[in-house]
Amino acid sequence: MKTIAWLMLASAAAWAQSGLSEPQIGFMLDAAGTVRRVAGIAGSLIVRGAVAGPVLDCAFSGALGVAKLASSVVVVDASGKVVSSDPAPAGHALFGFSRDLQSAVAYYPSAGSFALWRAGAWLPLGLDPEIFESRPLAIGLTDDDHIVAIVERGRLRELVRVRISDGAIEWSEDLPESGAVLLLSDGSIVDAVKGALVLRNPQGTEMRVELDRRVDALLAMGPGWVEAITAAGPPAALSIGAHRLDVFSLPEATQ
Amino acid sequence: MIRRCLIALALPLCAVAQIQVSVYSGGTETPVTALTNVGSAAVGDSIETIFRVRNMGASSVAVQPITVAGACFSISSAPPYPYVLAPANFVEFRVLFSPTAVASYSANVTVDDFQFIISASGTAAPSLTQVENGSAVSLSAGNSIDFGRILKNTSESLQLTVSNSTASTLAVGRIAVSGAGFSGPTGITTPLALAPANAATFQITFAPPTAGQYNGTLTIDDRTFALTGIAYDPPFPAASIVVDASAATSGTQQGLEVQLAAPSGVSGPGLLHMDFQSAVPGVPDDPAIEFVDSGSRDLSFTINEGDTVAKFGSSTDVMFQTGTTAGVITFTLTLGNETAQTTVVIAPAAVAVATASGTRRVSDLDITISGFDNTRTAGQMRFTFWDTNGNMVQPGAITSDFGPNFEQYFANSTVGGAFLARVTFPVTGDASTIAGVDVEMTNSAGTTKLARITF
Repeated sequence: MKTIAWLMLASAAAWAQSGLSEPQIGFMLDAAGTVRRVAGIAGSLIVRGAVAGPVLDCAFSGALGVAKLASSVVVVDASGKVVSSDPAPAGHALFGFSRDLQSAVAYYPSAGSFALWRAGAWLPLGLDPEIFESRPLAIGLTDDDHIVAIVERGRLRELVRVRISDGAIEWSEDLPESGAVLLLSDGSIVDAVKGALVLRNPQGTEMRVELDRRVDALLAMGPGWVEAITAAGPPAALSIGAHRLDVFSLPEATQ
Repeated sequence: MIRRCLIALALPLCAVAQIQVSVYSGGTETPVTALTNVGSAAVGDSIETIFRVRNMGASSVAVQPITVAGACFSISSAPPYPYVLAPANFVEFRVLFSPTAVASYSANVTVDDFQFIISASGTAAPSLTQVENGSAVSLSAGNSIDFGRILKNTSESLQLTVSNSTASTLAVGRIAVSGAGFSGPTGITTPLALAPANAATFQITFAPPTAGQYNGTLTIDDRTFALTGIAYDPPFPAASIVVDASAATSGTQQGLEVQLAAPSGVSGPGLLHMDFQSAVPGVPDDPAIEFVDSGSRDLSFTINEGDTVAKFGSSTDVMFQTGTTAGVITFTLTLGNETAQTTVVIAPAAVAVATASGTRRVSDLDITISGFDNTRTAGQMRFTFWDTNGNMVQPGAITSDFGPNFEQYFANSTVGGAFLARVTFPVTGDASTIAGVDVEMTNSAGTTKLARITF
């Protein structure tokens, strides 16, 4: 006979093991290149003081965050505390996270090099810079031995999966043309298309939400949140729910 | 008259002692002679001559009252007497010549012991009059013709008359208007001949395109008259704040517009301000209630001429956050002297849930709920667990009052009524048989039933 689960009915005891805290959205990059914490909930966003800056690119998984400064890369924990600062090739970077949100991959276009953040340290990846034949637009980490990247070939885009250990391209898949693009840790792709943001999950289903501003870049803010840096107006925050997308505006930081 | 002057000719030479009198014009002092001509003026006009008395000696001089004796001459400005003049210093006095007839005129001027004669002539010229408040006002050369204050982009015309009050025909060669905002003359053609007792009328117009002080000149042959006018901006049209108050609930971003009752006739800045009056006892404010564009409760905007709606950057609507606290948001608009106000009531509401998830561990079930309570009264929570066969896990619903926990949390919260609750249920037995949980949260405004959370 199967064991029946018994719940500890002393709810107060249950609460004692738990608790209440301020909900966190994640981190954003403002127009001045400053990383700021964002707290609150959808529709009631509170932008906090500066965490780091000036930053060229950044991404946050919820468990860790990575920020590219002029010639270094900084890793922060979930609270925004710096846990590592290392030299890195000059210029911009692309970042992606593993599904468990604990590891990150970085691509530095100026050097054509890749690095993997795992177990508290960056490891250079010996991948051929020409492996994608063209510059990646977004990058992700599917498991310990595979990265995925979205690359542009002429007017077409491809999702390419590469084995880290030998640099072999395992498969590629055509993608529709779009603007700014971001690979999420669960394999979903966020695309900025004209007048909308589109989320394509690995199963191929699609959700979209209107956004009538041109999007210049997409950054992972934290679990379920993507920042859309727009050409005009305040940056937008895309909230990814199970069955719907919502767009909010990120308030101007005053601190 | 001239003969008398010649008799006095020797006097200035012996009175030179310490003072020198000069005509001051264009930054230059020209010492007077025994007979000094100060020019001519049309009958009805005036000319003013500036004289300087300079102490050429080594000791001070007390200048006594200066006199000008002669028809149509008068002192228009003089120093207080006695005026003590230090060595090398000077003092000015002015003499006005206003001829009443076409003739030559002279006058004796006495400055202490110094005497000299000034001469001038009256010439014939048409007189100029302006009709003001129904009566004719004579204008002398150099006088100002004032159009007063008018609204920009409107116009004001004045009627002027040139007339001949002499016994001879007078020629008017040229009438011209210069200066931005002024135009004319209309209704007259020059050159023209004015017979005795005849007159001709014409109009000049002031039509300022922008607000400000305007200056121009009316020239009639060699006589000039100043033209002045001031243009002012119209007031802003009545303005109103347009917001969908019925849609205002906590935890939302709403749009707002500032609309004008008519196209604005003026450009200028405006300010929107938000105030929040909390309806929750002990909760004075909510930091999330702000304009998105400014990240504060003040937001500037601009109105351009012709606008019927305010511009916030490139957009005509502005977003604000309603926060997560029940109360009243008051918007105050200031636009020039116009003010407008509107309120948005954020009603108390049952707990709103943003996200809810469940995680199964070996001997624990974790439930995580984020949301907000705009009444800050959340407390009672009810959990009903369901097994993988769809049966309720005994003993059924588990209800507990977490009021003190929420109360303590909200007392220190910096995110308004938003919260992230994590509840862990220790499980004895096989936790994998529990598939999901229904959660209800209750506050003073009602009970919220969450969609089933699966593990």
